[in-house]
Amino acid sequence: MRKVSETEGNLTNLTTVRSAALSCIHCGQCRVPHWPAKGIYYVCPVYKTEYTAKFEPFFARGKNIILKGLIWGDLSLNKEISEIFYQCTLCGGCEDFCHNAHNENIEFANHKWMSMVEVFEALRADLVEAGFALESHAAMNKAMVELLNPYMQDNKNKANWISQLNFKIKDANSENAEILYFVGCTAALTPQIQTVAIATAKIFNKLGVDFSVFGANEICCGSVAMRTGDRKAFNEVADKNAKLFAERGIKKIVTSCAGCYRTLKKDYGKRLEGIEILHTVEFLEKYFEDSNIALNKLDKIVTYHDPCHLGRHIGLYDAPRNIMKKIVTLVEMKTNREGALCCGAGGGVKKGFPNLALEISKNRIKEAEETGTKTLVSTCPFCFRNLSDGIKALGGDIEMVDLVELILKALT
Amino acid sequence: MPQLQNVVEQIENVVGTKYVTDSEPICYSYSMNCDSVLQGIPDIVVRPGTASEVSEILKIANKEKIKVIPRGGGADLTGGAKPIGNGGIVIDMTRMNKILDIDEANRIVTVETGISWSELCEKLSRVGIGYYTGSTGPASGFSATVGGGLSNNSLGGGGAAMYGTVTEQCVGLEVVLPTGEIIYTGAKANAFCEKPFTRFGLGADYSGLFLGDVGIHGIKTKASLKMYAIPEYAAYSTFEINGTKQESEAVIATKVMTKWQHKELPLHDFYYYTKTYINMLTLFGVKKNLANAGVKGGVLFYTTVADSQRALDYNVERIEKVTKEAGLRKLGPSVEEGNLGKWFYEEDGRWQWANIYWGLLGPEGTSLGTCLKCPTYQLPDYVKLYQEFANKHTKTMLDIGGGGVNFIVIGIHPCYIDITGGIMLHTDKRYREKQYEIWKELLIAQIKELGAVHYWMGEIIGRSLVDAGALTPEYYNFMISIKKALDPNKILCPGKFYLGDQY
Repeated sequence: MRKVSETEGNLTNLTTVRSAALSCIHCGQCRVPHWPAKGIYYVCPVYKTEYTAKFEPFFARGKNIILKGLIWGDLSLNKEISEIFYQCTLCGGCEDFCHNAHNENIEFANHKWMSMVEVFEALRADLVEAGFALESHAAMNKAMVELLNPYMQDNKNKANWISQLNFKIKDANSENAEILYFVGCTAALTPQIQTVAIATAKIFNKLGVDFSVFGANEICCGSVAMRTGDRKAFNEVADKNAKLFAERGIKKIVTSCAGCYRTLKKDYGKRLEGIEILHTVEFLEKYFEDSNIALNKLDKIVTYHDPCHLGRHIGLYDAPRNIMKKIVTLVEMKTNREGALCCGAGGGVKKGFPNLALEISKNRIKEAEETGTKTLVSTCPFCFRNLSDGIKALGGDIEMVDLVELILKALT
Repeated sequence: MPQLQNVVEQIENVVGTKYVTDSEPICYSYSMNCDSVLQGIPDIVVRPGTASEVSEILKIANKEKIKVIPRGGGADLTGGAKPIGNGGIVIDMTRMNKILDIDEANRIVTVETGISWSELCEKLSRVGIGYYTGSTGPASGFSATVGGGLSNNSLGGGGAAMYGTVTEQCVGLEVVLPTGEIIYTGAKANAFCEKPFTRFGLGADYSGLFLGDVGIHGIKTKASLKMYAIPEYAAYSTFEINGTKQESEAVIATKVMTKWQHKELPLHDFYYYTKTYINMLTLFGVKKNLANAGVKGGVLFYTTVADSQRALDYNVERIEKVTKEAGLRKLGPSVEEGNLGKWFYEEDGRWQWANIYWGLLGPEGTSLGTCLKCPTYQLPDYVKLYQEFANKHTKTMLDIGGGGVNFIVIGIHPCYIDITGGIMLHTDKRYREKQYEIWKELLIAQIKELGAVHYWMGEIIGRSLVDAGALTPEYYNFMISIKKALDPNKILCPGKFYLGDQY
């Protein structure tokens, strides 16, 4: 790796989280902690692979020292810093383990100074504004704004999965419903993952839930732009969505995508004030509790992957497990819940560094295989996609499913 | 630095292009340890995979007259794992992290020195009957490596009251000398010895030459350590200590700890948290359990282990006879009732405890380490010294965004203690000189007034020792002679011991 020429850039976004950015004390415990009592055997999914040379910046401490260098004026934004900071899935593993961050796990209630995800995202925003966005990300975010999805597809394709249903669902563009089912771009536009959307719709239909979808008019939630630092692009789609939801009088949104869920729930802020945001598993857990609906116990032993955006970013660990307890036998992986290994797709890594995403995914699949189960369950289409790639790359026979697919079977 | 590009290329030929870099941000990320006061930015960072590669890198450094700084987990507090001044090559040892041999017959584990203490102990726990290294590294053992712990003569990760420092667990090393030769110390110095089993023999204790040396004598690439069966039974209790007019809290704590040590009671660990420290923990809500338990004074906790319940009960009876005689209030058995011993042994992981210091000062806070070893009876004198220092410097520290000074006591086998503490300050770069000055003043006061032994030998400790005049001319010259013989081109860790301007 060689030095590259420096270019000055502003730190407008990083400055807003200056204290957090300076709060790392470099203890380095985010490198390779092994803490069986807490189920922690790794922190950084990137560092766990051999994709990088594992120099300091390829786990949180080194990045935090670079942040200090930037804030203190010792370093300037440049392409190389961009390459370093984008080789991070923003999974929050480091943040969840850090004693100077939000960490209820180790009871340091007052130590909420650090926030790696927030700080790294702020730096990414500065990098984008300084012209150091990754080319692949720039193209993706441009497509997201122009086509309303980051997959560079005609947004009409988002309605394709609906034609596979044998019942009619309400069109949110013109019909009112109690719930808006926000499908998300990955489930709507990836043929092999449309099963998530189809299963969700079938469950709602079976349960008699009054729901609607925007179909071809569904606008990307903006997660990819937010995570990769393109705040202008994010604001553009977020504002469009907020306007659309307001116009259509949406009061409750349910999504089966952990990424959309995190974005709508946390990143939209006041835009969605008054609208309840739920993940499907959260909605269904309560629904099953309240309705006493009988669920069949399937003859299936499964293991579960906690999506970072559902788990560490929001804290939703029990809802999927509570449902699984009713319908399958769950065997936990070595790392789970707060300590769960990331799938490798998030933070723009799948787009920017596909081979790194694949290596992380393979590590997660190996953990799944260690459980001896043949079915890997998740609750995020993007995790589904990357973990499926990992299964394929390893040539394993483990089956990848979304929890909604199992729920549908348990309802049949 | 001479012909940087040329040096990079030479090292690339040894380790491959992937594992060497002169990238500015990457080199910058190797410029600090846990403190951000001491900083030195290297020109090159390399992550070798074998002792032979380390050897070749050192040969290049000798040829090109470039300084080299080995680095483990980078978790030390006194500038041990970063360059003094800018420039040089940092050798990041963390790629060499394999467990090479687990010899259950001799109870010895041999590892590459870049493995972390927590990874090593976790993996040992799953072998055979389940093992650990007894004294389990520094309190930073989640991050710190075996090599770093041995170079810093560390302790604090638990087990020190029973097993002493980590260096006492070492039975042999593989070392790359500054000039590139690879040697073995301990039993393996005999080329016909199959497995390492003892540190002594075959001449003087040459392992000792590289233990606590902060890497100035050679780069440790392999280490053989004693390992012990994980105890089947463990017990732990916590006591409140309140001083009286006749006896201060520190005096009472000293008496109890001394009795424990002199009676050779089977303590696995014992820790003493001062009243001031406890007040901080409860004030900031870090240890709500202590506040709920109504703790107002200092706290003393112990852990003991045994191979049967009967033996454990007997241990507890003997240990607690001493605390009962001293009139200490025993807190409840659960963590919620204030039992820090249970928290430490069962939940905390035995490495994380020190980190409750960090962040007490708020965002951007740091601690400038002043940890030392001393005879147990000296504890009250250190309390006085810290109080005097605080009285003198509180205003200055507040002016530069600081907090205060404090410490925790760790029991060490057989009868001394570690006063592990530091000065809490904000990492405000504008005040680095003042921070350094205050830090050094406390270290020198500890050295001169009480004969402190600072077992971490990083940049600031070496300078404090020399500037305090603590090293006799004969000892100082002896150290220089050894260094000169081993490192004629002065390339390995120059300045770490402050052996004159050249070493």
